[in-house]
Amino acid sequence: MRGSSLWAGAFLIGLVALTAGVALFWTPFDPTANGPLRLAPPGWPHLLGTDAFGSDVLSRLMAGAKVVLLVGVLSVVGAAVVGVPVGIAAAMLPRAWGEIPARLSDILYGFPALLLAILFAAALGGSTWTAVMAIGIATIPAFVRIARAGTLEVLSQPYVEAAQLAGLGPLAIARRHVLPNIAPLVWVQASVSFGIAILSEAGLSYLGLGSGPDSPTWGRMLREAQDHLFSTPILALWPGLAVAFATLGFNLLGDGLRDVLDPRLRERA
Amino acid sequence: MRRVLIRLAWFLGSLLLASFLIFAATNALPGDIANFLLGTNARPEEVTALRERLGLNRPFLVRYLEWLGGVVVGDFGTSQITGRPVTEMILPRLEVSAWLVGLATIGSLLIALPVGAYAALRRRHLDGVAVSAVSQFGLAVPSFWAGIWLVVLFAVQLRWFPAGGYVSYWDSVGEWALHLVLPVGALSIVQASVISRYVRSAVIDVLHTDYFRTARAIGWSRIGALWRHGLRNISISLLTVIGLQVTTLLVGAIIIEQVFAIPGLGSRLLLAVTQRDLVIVQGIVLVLVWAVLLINFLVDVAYQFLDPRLKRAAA
Repeated sequence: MRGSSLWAGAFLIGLVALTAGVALFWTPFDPTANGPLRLAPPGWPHLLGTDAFGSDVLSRLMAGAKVVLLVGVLSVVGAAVVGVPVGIAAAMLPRAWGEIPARLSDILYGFPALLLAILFAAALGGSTWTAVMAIGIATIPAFVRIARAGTLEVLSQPYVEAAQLAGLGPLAIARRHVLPNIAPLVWVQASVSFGIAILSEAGLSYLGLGSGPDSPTWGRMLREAQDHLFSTPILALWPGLAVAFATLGFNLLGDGLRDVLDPRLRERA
Repeated sequence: MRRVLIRLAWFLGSLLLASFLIFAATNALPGDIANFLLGTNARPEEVTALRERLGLNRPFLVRYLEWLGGVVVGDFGTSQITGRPVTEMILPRLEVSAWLVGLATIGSLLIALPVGAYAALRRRHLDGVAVSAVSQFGLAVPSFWAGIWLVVLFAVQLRWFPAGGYVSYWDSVGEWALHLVLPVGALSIVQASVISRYVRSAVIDVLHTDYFRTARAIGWSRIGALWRHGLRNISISLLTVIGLQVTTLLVGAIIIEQVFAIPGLGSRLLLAVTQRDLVIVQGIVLVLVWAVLLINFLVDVAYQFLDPRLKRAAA
C-alpha cells in the first residue's frame, strides 16, 4: 500500500499536465469554433460529442486543462513565495513582531477565495488574472501557518544553537537550516493547495467570474451544460470528472508526499 | 474565563479588520461606480456631479467610518442601482441562506458520523477501505457538480423533487421542504466526505485508548463503548472540523444557490457584482465574512465547555 497514493496522484496529475501540454499545440478541433453539429452524442469525429454551440467537447476539455494548470501554478507558487518567507520571519523575529503576521494570517485563514474573487470582480471585472490573484492571496495564510510552525520546531533543535554559536546570522540559518527542513511541509501544503485552487477555479468560472468567453474552462462548460440537462445530461459529466480527477490527483499526491517525506505524520491506522 | 475574554477581544478585532479590508477592496480599486453608471461617453462634469451626489469625493477613511457606523446599528447603506436600503434587501435572503447552510451542516453530520465510524471499525476490511476511497473521491468533487447530478437523477429522471426555486415555509411547509432537499443534499454529501474522514481518524484514536479497552473488558459492545465513552471525545475534534468547514459550506452555498436558482444571499451578491452595485457587494460580503468569524469564535468558546482539560489548564 505504501506509496500507492503517491503514484496514483502523480499519474492523474501527469495526465492533466500532458493534456494541457498537448493542447498548447494541438486540439482535435478549434475549441472555440462553433460548428453546425449541435449537441451531438459521443462518436466520430467528435469523440466526446459537441455542445450547444457545436463546439467539440474534447477540444474544450483539453483547452480547459491549460487554464486550470495556469491558474493553479501561478496562484500556488505566488502564495508560497510570499507566505513561506513571512512564516519563517514570523517564527524568527522577536515575539512581539512575530505575533503580528501570525495573528493576521489566522484571521485571513477563514477568508474564502471565492469571496475575494467576487470583491475583485465587482471592482475590476472578472478575468483569469482576478481569479489568480484571489486564489493566490487566499492561499497565502496556509503557507504562513505551515512555515511558521515548521520553523519554530527547527529553531528548537540543538544544531541551530550550534550554528548560532558558530556565528551564523539569522539569514544564513534560515537558508541553511530552516528552509531545507521545512521544505517537505511546504511541498505537501503546495499539493493540497493546488487541489483547492482547482476547485476554486472551477467554482469561479462556473459563476462567470473567471476567464473570459474566449478561453474554455471546466467551470464554464458545466454552466453551459446545465441548460441542457433534460436533453443532453452527458455534457455535465466530462468537465466535472476532469475537475474531480485533477483535484483527486493533487490530494493523493499530498497524502503520498506526507507519507514519504514525513514519517511522523503517517496515519496511525 | 480569562481565555474567553482574550478570545473575545481577538474576535472583535478581526471583525473590524475584515470590515476594513472589504471596504478597501471595493473602494480603493479602480472602477469608479460613477464612471460605470454614466458610461464611457459621459462628460467629466457629469461624473464629478454624480460622484458628489453619491458622496464618493470625500476622504476614504471618513466614508469607511460612516459605513461602519451605519453597519453597527444595522444600516448597510443604500443601493446605488435600485436606491433601496441594502438592509431590507439582505434580511429575507439571509434567512434563506441560513436554512441552506444550517440544514446542510446537520445533514452532513447525519451522514458523516455513521459512515466515518463504519470506516474506522471496518478499516482492515474491504468494505471499510472502499468507504474511505469513496470519501477521498468526494473530497475532490465540487458541490455544484453533485447538485447538477442530483437534478439529473431526482428532478429530470425520477421527478421526485423540483429542479430549482424556493418556496417560503409561510406559504407551504411541504413545498419549502421539497425545494430544499436537493440543494441541501448536494451540500451535505460533499461536506460529509470531508467530515467522515475526521470522524474515522477520531474513532480510530478512541479504539486505541485504555478507557475503550477497559469498557470492552467489562462487557460493553464496540458500538456501545463508542457511544458511551467515545462520543464526547470525538465531538471535540468534530467541532474543529465544523469550524474549519463552515467557510467551505458558505462558499458552496453561494454556488449552489446559483445551480438551483434559490433567492439567497449568494444569488443577490452575484447579481450585484454584474451590476457593479458596490454597496450591496460590500454589505453581503461583510455579512458572510462576519458569519464565518462568529462561528469560529463560538466554536472556540464551545471547546471550553466540551473539554474539561482546557478549563483546568486555564484556571
